[in-house]
Amino acid sequence: MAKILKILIIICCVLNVSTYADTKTLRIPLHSSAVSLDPASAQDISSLLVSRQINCQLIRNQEGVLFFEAAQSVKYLAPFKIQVQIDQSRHFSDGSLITPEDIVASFNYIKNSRSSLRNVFQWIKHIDIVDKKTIVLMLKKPIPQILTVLSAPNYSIFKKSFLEKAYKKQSIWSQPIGCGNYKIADYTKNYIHLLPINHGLPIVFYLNDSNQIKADDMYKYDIVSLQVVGNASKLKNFNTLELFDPSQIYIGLNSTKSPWKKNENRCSFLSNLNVMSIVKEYAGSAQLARHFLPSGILGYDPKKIFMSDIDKKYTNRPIPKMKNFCLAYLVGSVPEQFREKYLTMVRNMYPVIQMFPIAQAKSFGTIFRRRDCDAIIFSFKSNYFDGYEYLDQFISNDINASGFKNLVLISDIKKSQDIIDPEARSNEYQEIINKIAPLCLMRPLITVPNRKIYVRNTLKAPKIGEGSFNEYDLGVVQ
Amino acid sequence: MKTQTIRYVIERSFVVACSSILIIMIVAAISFNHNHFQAIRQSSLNEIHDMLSHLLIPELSISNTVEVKRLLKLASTDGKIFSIIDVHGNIFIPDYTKIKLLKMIFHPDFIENSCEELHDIYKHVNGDKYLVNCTSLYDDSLGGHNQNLGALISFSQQRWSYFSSLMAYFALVGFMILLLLFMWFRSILQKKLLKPLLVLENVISQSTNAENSGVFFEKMGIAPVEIITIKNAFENMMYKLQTEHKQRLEIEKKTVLLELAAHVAHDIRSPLAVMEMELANKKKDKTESNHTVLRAAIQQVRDIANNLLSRYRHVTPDQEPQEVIQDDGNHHCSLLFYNLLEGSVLNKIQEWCNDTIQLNLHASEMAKYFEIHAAPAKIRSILSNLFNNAYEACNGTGKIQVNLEINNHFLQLNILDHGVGIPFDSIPDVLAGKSLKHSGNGLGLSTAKKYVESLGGELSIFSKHGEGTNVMLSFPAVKECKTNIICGLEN
Repeated sequence: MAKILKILIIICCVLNVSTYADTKTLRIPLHSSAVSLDPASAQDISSLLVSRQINCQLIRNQEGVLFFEAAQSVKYLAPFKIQVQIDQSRHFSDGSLITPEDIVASFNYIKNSRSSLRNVFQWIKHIDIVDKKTIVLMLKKPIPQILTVLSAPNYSIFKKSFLEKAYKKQSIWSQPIGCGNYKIADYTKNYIHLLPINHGLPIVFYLNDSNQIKADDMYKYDIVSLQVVGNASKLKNFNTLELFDPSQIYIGLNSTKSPWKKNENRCSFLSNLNVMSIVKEYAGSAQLARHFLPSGILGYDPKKIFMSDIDKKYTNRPIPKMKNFCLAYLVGSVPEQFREKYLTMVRNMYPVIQMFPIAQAKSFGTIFRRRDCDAIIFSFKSNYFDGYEYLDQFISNDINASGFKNLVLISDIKKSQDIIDPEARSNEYQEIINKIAPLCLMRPLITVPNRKIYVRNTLKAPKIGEGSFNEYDLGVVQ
Repeated sequence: MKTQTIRYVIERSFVVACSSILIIMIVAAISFNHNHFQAIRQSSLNEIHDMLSHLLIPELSISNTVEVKRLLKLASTDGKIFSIIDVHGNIFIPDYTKIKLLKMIFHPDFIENSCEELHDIYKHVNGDKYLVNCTSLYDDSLGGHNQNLGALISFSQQRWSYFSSLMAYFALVGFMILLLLFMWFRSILQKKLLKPLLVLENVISQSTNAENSGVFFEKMGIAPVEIITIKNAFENMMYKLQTEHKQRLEIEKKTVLLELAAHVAHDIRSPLAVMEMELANKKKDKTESNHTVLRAAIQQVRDIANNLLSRYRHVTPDQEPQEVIQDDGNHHCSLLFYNLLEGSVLNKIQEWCNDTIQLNLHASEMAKYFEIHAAPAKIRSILSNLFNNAYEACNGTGKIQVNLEINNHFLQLNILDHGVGIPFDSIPDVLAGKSLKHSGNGLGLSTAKKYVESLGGELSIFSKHGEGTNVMLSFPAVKECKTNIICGLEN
């Protein structure tokens, strides 16, 4: 009898735990090496997903449709004068109201701290505080796309007092005071625990060293955006969504190092890479990259193949001789199971090769050059499907792997943001890409058009497929 | 057989017809609505496809995904989902949870030429029906070189059409028109068919007042030819029936009179014979006894005449012919039966004095003092007839024995002769009034039987052919007479 009672108690406990796990907390694995809640750094999709939950912005974008978040209204007083009223019902996680001073401080922090995606600050002359809930953005000239750019997930609002501390102490970014639907309850090495402020289920983001998880471990999680390897039958309790969320993997050369200082050496190396072996390895989930930008990104030209003229000229030309070859890779960009293939691709050209992983996405360019490596495998992904986010690497030193710096090119890239008409801007991007191709600084290898999201089929996740996953508000999941 | 009134049939038919029409109208309206919406949906879908294609092509040609997705999202309303599969196989869809469905509807291996085949067609996926449309997107701008950019695909689950006001109007107006038509038809049926039929039915059911049918028929108004024909046939039939009825009454009256005359003729034969005989003996013997016999015979003839007169007075032409026995024309009273019997026997002895026949009367002492309640004239007539029958059976010779006794409160009279007798088979006929002496009806036995039975008594015949007959009459004895007074006899 005692045994039976024990068994019953254990069964009840297990059921209770599993029920609790299924319905009370969302369990989401993330790639730990890249999670950063500091908007000034280059945030990957894991960081953006966590930020999305704890931060708010004036405006957000969902499938091209803008909606207000911290803003109550936006009014064009003049083509270059935009009045924004702050939503007085929205609070920071410490309970205080959002003030104009907080918004101005947030914009200033991003402007002062972030090296990439700074085009907004070229357009904004200054921000005026009108009253306790109103600000006016004074533009240098009329920029119709400014609200769209502001809706990208890079302009989070934080409390002014918090930011003042953040200037001095970077570590406090583990407990940011944001104005989103969640607040951080616990930030450890292994997980980030978020608690809802108004509505939604508590969330635990489990931080993995790897950017993939085994199918056998899927039972531990509810929503998975990492690559899943192993037995597909373990996914029967999950709905699989394929979101169009293109990323492109590149190989870049360190133009500050010999023999890659010479253009023709770079061109002959890049033209003789056997990329198809990697495409095969991805087994249909990736395509051979044809253009500098992945298809679906503004500036992509389906009629042109990137470096086609260079390839014609340099294919089968001898590559520079080297004793050792250092191949770096950005950990978050190259899934574990494919790293060997990338290595093999280069090893076929340089048998003596070593690999060097770089985890810090924020400054991978600088680290790569400092390490004096020859080539680097990295990927880029756009948040609002614009080529500028790919070209920005030539402006921002931290992510400029090649070390190539051309003021004319930088100027052209910056000026492209002033072009209002998308078609004209796309044409300008193509012009810039045409100028980049002969430099043989980098070449796109493969395009991964879709991102797979696995959602436990007992969950209701409305509108999860309507936009990028990193822009998804997990507070609506039931 | 189950019967229903024609009004019920018409009313029920009306209700059934109205319900059927209503259902048919609703079904027709729903069908009309469905087809109407289908046509509108397809038309609007084609328009949206055209318009959206024109908007999407420039954006797709420059890979402006944000705008492409925005346009797809704006177009994807009301259950319709618009998506794009570009030439690279990239899928743009507002709701990526529907991507599996899209792949099931539209095979992911995009074939350039297969798009145009998917125009306004229905595809079944997981038991649901989807309207699928596909438009190839070609960049025909100056720099586009008619390049294929992909395909715009829309799919929407086929749901039952929305209820539209048009459908409601259609159903309502149609129903009202048909209802009015039916009301009009019903009114015609009521006026032209039902009303004349009801009048006709009323007249027929009250056929005793058929002579007033003309008044009722005027209420018919305008009636169909068939009903008029029925009415005329009925009137004709009623006229014939009435004529025949009158004729039958006349015939029956004559029959009654004829029967009466026969009775009279039959009954007066005996007193007339007495009187004839007395007149023949008048010169020889003028004794008191002979006078008495003659007076009795005259009295008998007078009784017959009175009886006849009484009947004549009671039978009016309008009355149904009645049984003669039931209305005997004389007053019933309590009478001492023996005295009446004795008188009749004496009369017969006097009548048959020239013959060799013996008429013996034997009565028990008890029987002599019992009375019966009857008409004396009728009893005398019956006894006379029965004695005559016995006399005729004996052919004027032999012996007739008359016995009277009291038996269990019944006076029992037996008239026994040793004459030719009556064949056994003929006894029922004789009692029914058939004569054995001549062809036609005899009146004596049957009349006697009916009368005796009307008094509560019985008349029965026991006879053997060639040996004789015993006619037995029994009368209920009313009371015992102590005074020996004969009632009902004037003499």
